Amino acid sequence: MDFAKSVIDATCEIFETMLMTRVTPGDPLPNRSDVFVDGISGLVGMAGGYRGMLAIHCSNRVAMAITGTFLGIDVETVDDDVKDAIGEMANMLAGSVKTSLSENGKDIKLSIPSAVGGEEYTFECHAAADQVLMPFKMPDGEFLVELQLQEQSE
Amino acid sequence: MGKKVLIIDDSSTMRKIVARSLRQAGFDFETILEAGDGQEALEVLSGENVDVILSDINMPNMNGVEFLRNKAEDDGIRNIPVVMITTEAGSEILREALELGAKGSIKKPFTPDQVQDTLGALL
Amino acid sequence: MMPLREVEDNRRDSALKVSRPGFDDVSTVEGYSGMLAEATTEVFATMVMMEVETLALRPARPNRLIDSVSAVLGVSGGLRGVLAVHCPERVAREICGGLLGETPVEVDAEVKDTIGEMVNMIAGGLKIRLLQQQCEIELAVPSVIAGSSYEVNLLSRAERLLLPFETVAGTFLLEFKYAGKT
Repeated sequence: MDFAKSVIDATCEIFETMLMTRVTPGDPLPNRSDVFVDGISGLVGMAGGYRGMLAIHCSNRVAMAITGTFLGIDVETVDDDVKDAIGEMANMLAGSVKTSLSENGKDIKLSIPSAVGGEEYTFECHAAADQVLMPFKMPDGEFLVELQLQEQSE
Repeated sequence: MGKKVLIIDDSSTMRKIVARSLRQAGFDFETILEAGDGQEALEVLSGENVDVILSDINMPNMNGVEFLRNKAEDDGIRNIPVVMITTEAGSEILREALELGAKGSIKKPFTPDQVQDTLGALL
Repeated sequence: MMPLREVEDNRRDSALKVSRPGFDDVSTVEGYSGMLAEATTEVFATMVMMEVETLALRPARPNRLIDSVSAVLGVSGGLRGVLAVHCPERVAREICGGLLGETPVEVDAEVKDTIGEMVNMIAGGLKIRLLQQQCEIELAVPSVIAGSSYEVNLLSRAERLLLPFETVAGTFLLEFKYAGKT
């Protein structure tokens, strides 16, 4: 199946329905930098018929914009709301990708989401068989959606 | 003549850990070959005679079970014993690997003794 | 899709909570921490070849991790959760040294790989122990985070346990958040 398409569809739909924000996908990246500066990453594990994880990486500025729109509040610092919102974005994106995988006959289950952030941190996940690194543009900047999936034998 | 072993794992660090545990278990392989997935392993095996293979299960491109399936179809390498290394002992996928001809399994974490017991019987 | 209000509720989880009978019994916290302690001790005894002592559960930890390496692994199936290990750099390097035979002088790719592999093996040990209680969990893949100052937040109102371990190189912390079935 086309994982990149499934990531694009999931991201556009969630931003349009939950944030009423239009996002534009860029070209998928072959790899990404391991280092993130003044950023936040939301991630959620996926297991079952596929094993892997989905992450959304964004700058603090974009994270605060997403949170402000998502919760309908003013956000001035990277507080608990921002961490929760970015974790929840990863959760919803993974939920949507999960639905397209289950239409493909593969049942997967999601873990509890996490949020990672800081002035400078590295974030690494072993590249799995099916890797998607999809950048998106929104009015406040760019963010990256990462999907790492490994199909499990029956 | 010294023996050759092939270690298949997508993590180069894990390959080093396995190689070290082989030495700790008292095995003195002449050559330790490495492959990052099943496909790379088949390429290595097309040019090298190997006495035993240690393989991870979950790997990109070609996983451990697919590797066993491909290996079984190749007369030249079909009889090389394979031991699976996995964190998930007793899982469905391991059962499938054993059905496909894997000679045994080592569950992570493992002691040098466990490596000795499983591999010693095959060499 | 989770309702929006879940997000607003995802805080206030800084301490072990009072048990609610029938759901999150304190005995469950003890049960899981016992399994995790066993699994961790097993990994250290068999592969890291380093002495490790299980310390008492902690009620909280600092939000910010300084000069550390963390690995995060999702859990789903019979238990929906997330397991993380947080190691000060020195502990992470010594664990890597224990596994590979040589201790790297800085946090390199191998140190991060070994910490990812360690959380994977501890989770594998938890999986086997839960299976004996007819609870089958599935494991995701580990992500490894490192840096001079960062945060890792396991999000949810789910139960949390913080289990520290003492080694010659210092203390590291296992963090587990879990809720019922996926």
